[in-house]
Amino acid sequence: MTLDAFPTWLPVGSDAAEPVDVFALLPAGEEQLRRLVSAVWSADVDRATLELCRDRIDALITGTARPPAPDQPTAAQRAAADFAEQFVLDPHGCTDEQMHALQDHFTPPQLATLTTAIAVFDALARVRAVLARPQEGTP
Amino acid sequence: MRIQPPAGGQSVFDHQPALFESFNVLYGTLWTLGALEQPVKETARIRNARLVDCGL
Repeated sequence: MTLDAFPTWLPVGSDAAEPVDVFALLPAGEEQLRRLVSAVWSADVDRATLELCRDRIDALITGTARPPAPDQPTAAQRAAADFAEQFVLDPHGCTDEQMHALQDHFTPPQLATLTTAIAVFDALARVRAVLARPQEGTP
Repeated sequence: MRIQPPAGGQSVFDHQPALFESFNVLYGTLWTLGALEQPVKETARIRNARLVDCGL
């Protein structure tokens, strides 16, 4: 899901507009990256929460937002998404109040998963942001 | 520490040893293998650490 192919300015393939599996170009680490992403999604934090965090991060880094989920986020999901946003903008800006709020909703093992997931989503969004082919009409 | 590690652990990530291992295997692979020379990777690591004020 977070390793989807996308059109890239990298000099690969014959048609620059065609999506490319950029991560398959890694000379080492592709399999390990896919294993980590899979482990994140199959761990102990529910999918809706992870999707909300991923979407918030993508919106911040790429400037493109997915349509919102039909259901209103729960308090736990809002706390997780706020944490994801702070992680992207300024990780040192996480407050004690924010961390206490997270611990009201998530266990320590879930917070380990959530933090790892956010770090992975952040990294993948940045890779895509720098390697994606600029869209027509954008500066 | 805001989130305590489990007994015998050193960080919050020790609460999820399998997930942490997956991360470390990827990190180690990217660090030791691949097409980039070590000095290039180290330079990027230091620049990134400086930007996010990471003391590691």
